[in-house]
Amino acid sequence: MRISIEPSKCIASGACWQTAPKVFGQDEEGVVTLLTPQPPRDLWVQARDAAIGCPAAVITIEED
Amino acid sequence: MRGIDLYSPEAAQDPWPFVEQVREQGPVVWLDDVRRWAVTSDKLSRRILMNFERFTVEDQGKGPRLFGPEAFISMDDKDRHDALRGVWSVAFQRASLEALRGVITDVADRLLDEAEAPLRDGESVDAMATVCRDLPAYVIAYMLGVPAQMRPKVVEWSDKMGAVATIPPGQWRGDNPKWVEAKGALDALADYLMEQIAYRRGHPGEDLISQIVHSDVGRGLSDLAIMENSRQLLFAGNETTAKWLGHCMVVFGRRPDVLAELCADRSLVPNAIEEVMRWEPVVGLTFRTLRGGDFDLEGTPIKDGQRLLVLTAAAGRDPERWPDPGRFDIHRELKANLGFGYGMHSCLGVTLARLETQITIGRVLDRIPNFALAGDVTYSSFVLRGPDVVPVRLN
Repeated sequence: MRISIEPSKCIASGACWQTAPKVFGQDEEGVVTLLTPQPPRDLWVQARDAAIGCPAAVITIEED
Repeated sequence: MRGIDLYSPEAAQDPWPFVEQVREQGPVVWLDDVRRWAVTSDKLSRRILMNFERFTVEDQGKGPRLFGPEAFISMDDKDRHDALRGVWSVAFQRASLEALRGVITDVADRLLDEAEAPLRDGESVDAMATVCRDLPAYVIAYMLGVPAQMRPKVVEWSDKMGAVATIPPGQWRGDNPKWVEAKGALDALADYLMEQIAYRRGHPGEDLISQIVHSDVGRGLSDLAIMENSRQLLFAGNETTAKWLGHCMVVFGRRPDVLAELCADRSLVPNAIEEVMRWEPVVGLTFRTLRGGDFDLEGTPIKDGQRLLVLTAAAGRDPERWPDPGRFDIHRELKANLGFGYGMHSCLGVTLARLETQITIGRVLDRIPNFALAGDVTYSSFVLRGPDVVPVRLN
């Protein structure tokens, strides 16, 4: 799994880092940060949920 | 700064000179008339809206409130807020809303049917009244599970409630007829929703009311609390989206070059409607009260208890974030503007609003791409701003 984000689209709803706190964080302005672009398998479900839950379509997930 | 009246017809008709006047004084400016700190900087607005512990929403001063205290839009307690909002978070996700594409398109087409006949006869039609105003109301009524025959009534109540945005809070009183009408609609809708809530307890469905009634958090709520949260959706999601649609019609109607580009390339529509939101926002500002002590806001000392006006409209034209901010340009790099808020209280319905606006504008481009504005456009509110009427004609 490879995750990419477009932080400029973020409205800091918090959905991502609340769903997958080991994968996503936030900077001091609340904008999403990517803690681990290639998370281990046990975090994949959370990461997918976070991507679905983002109201601003900031997160893209590539899976082979 | 003196002499800035947010509720003046001048501010509503053209807010931008007022906004730039405030910005010229600095990123944080004390406004005497409203006794609040106005914030025009995008960066500082984000910082404030992120800090829900210090910059609170619960108490914004004297006067009646549009949203009751049980509605999560009014809450500062993050846990309580998240538990309530969480009930509907899945319903408002992209994947869930895709299932509504057909419903939204049907509503848009039915409303356009009404507008298209007189237009083809050469008449001028008010796009606001025939299409924009009612589209979001019908969609949310559908999502709330309102039976088809009751939807027009719910939409009518929603229209009357929406008029409240043009009345200054100081006039939310019995001697203002618009307020009396709005209050009547608020109460009628409350009664109706209470009936629906009671009904859904015994007859659960897939709708938003059933979802909250039969949720863990819902089981601990009074019917009144459930009603306030449900009614919040009808208010927060109708006037706003309707006005966004209105702005799109006006801005595109005034720019035949943009209209031609959109007709030729529909993939431009999503960015174009976001640029309308930035350039002509609907929600122009949001209120916060500082709690928990004094706060140094980048050199400006805010005292505990003082109130702020976060001018999100100004943030959308902040030159630090937007090159040549006064220029309407659908080809800008897509970046978030503060038109949907930011942080904990950022718009729950943002994806729905985008879907409704994309679909409706898409159907306008399909069916009446040769529309043009047929008269002047007036605006009656800065706080929740949109065109009062959008007279259009076919070329």
